[in-house]
Amino acid sequence: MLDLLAKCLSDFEGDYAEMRFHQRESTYIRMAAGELEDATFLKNAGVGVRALVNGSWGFSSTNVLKVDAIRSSLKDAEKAAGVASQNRTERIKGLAEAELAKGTFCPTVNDPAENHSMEEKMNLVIEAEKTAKDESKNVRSAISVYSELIDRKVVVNTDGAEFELHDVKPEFYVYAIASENGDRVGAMKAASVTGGWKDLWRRNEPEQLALDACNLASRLLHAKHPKGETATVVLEPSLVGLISHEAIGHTVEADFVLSGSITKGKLGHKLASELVTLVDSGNPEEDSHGTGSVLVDDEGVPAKRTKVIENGVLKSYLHDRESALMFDTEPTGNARAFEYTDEPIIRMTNTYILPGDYSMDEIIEGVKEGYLMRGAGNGQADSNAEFMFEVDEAYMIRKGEVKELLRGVTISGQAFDVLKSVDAVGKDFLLDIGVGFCGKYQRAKVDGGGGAIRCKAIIGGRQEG
Amino acid sequence: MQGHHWWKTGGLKMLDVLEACQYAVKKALELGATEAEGFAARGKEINVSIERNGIKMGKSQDLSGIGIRVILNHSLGFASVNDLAKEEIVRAAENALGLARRAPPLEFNELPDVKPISKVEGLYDPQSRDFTMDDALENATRLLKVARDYDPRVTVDSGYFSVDVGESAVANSNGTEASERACAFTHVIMGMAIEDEEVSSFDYRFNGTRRVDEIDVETSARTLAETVVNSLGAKKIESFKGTVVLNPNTVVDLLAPVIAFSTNSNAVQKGMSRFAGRIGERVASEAFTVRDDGLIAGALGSSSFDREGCPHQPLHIIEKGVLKNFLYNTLTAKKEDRETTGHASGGISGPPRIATTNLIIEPGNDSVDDLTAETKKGVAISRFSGAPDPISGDFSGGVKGGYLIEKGEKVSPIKETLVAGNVFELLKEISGISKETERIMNFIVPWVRLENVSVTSA
Repeated sequence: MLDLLAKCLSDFEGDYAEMRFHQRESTYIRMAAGELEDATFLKNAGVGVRALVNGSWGFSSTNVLKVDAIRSSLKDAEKAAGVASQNRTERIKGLAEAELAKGTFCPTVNDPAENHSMEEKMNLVIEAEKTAKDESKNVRSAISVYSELIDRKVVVNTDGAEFELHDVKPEFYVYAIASENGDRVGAMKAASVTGGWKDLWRRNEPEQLALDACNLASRLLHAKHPKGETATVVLEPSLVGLISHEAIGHTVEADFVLSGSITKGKLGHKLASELVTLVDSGNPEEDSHGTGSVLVDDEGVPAKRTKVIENGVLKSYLHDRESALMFDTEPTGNARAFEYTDEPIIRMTNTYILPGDYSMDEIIEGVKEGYLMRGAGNGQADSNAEFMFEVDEAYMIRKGEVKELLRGVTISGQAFDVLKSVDAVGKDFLLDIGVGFCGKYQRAKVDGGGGAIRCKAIIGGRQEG
Repeated sequence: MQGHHWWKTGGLKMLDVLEACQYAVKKALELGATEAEGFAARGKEINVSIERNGIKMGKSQDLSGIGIRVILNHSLGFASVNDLAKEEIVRAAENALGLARRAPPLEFNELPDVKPISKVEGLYDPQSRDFTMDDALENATRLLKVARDYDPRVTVDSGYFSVDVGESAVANSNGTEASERACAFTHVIMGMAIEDEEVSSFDYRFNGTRRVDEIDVETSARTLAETVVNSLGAKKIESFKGTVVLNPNTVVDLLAPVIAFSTNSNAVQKGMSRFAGRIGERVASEAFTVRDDGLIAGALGSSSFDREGCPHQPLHIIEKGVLKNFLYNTLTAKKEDRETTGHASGGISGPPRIATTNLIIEPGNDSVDDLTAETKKGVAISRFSGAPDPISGDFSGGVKGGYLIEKGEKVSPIKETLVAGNVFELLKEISGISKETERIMNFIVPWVRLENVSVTSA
């Protein structure tokens, strides 16, 4: 494949071109309320071609893996670039220099998921759903899902990248729905990694996840809604990850910075508490199995450890080669495409706050009245770093003790204000953003986490009366 | 149209996707499937994208693929491949059967019988064939320019103009065979207003049409620009419980997902829907009527047949506040020994699910201005940042591009404001519906005013 792509690229005369063969094989198995709703095997393979001509980008793709078809895609991409360049006000001046990858890259995989039979995966899903449903009389409906993405990429570009990248991302979740007197509430527990079968179950076995989801849903049924207020909150790593990714991370993606995000012109400014060092890494030394791990990006830039915020000071944005040149800096390995039909754009990998010195007990001890929050639900964040996230599991803290569970809780605020208010960072580290995808015109697998943090934020709830 | 097989008059290429489906069915049966279905699509995409106030990229690609559903003694298996070559189809059929052999059976796993279908007009504009990258560029440029010209403080973060022209087909072992050509011209624009140090709320608008002469990027560009500029200088407000006026975007984001989920027969049957067992009951204010109609000529949610090759049945979901109907596909219909309503949805990458087609909330009697003028104290919302939980109906999220309303007047833009409540409860708190409606993609919805909503401020 490497030779085929190199051959197709050999007579290209524009500024830059890249060819990315991407084969994805995915499996998706879903049980809901005792019924197998989905058992799908999906294969998607082709070559995505991107060309930089006359200071503008063009893209095309083909599912035919032959010289003529790929060359014809390159022509289409060049033509598209030519058309787009007509109305382009600022031409792309080039791409930042970087040591581009050569060779073959594979993540660490303990016990490959491919070695486990479809039967085993199906049974896993069937049993988990049953476990969740049978555990509590209030839980009459549950959903369990196993899915895996197995990717093989081969990338060649005119700047010298020539590599093959393997990637495996299995995930599993159980969603239990408890109901009583017409009231319904759901709770999810999940596992998700880059790696193998053993890696997927490193924290919890599937049965435990099923039981935990069931118990949480059942307890949420009798939980009260919070009152709306600004409060001290202790965020466990899952929510630290969500804020790092969703509310901070997107505002430091260089494409978004250039169009005017809140961090524009703020490099070197103190935007967070000194306790906060925030990193994006495609190969974290703390935990290489993060779902967002990617050893080489789609432009051929090897994974970097980018300190976005160091001791509270904004140090770096996240770049592809195009934006890196515009900022006169090095690319950070954040260019990624979801499928062969997508062009690489700036995406986060694993985004997290480095662990601090506090034990969880010490963090909670210091809280007179506040909230403990665990588990990231849906969320949205704005260009001005205002965010709002649903919290799966929130507890009141009174006099340093964790008290009753609450339901329907959201946390919001301005993310940098929240990070300024951090007065404790936990020493226990997790990448734990959960399952699902990050959407930015295309999907991407990402992860986030950190040590737990204690901070101030707005709790959403119902205003009574 | 008299319900005859109109597609047979199509060109040679039309038969390609249908032939692929028929081939898939034949091969799956040969491999031992009890029943089999192929759903194939082939199309061309032209897309011009926008980034930070400029044109970013041109994109042009052909896409094709097939999804094969097999049923083996009532057990389901599904496989998909992005190729219509015979050997790939055979491999996919084998993969689907491999899954079905290991899957637990479900009595109701059966494919639909042949149903007569009539062609829905206006889904394919012959002019789309001649629509070029240059035409797409012109539209993307206009999208950008209209927003930027509205006010120099407007920044367009990103967006695109896209053309998709394609054909899809479905065939099954009961003799169903149908295919259809369609096109869509869609666009998105996202941006904010920036003045000195202040960055406004981020907002987006999107829309689309199936007709070249109906392409309208200006409205999206203008309303985006207007919303973000007006949200500059926003102030915090005091928390209160009261009136909220939702614009059509917010109705689509906040109310529609909960209604769609709760009337999905799969959610109903599995005990996940709050509407389960409540057909005939009052679930909303009397002024509230919701319909689903997948047969509207030219609409983006329309097609002549659903994902299983069955015709869409137009339905009242809620009529004058009373719950009327749920949406079915063949599987969920068989569980209740009734006919599908033609709401099987999805593409080549998975077995049919259930979804609304064109969701219509009927207009009311008030003008949009009346809704504000009659409000003593409330908040108008341009975008709801968050997602309601469709199971419980609970929602809590940010108000974007919001206004404080006092004594019938929009007083000032607001920031750092949250709204929270429960959609099921609020459907009974509707105090006004506008007579104006907007068509946003496959939704046709008015402005809706709700009472007793919690508005929380930082």
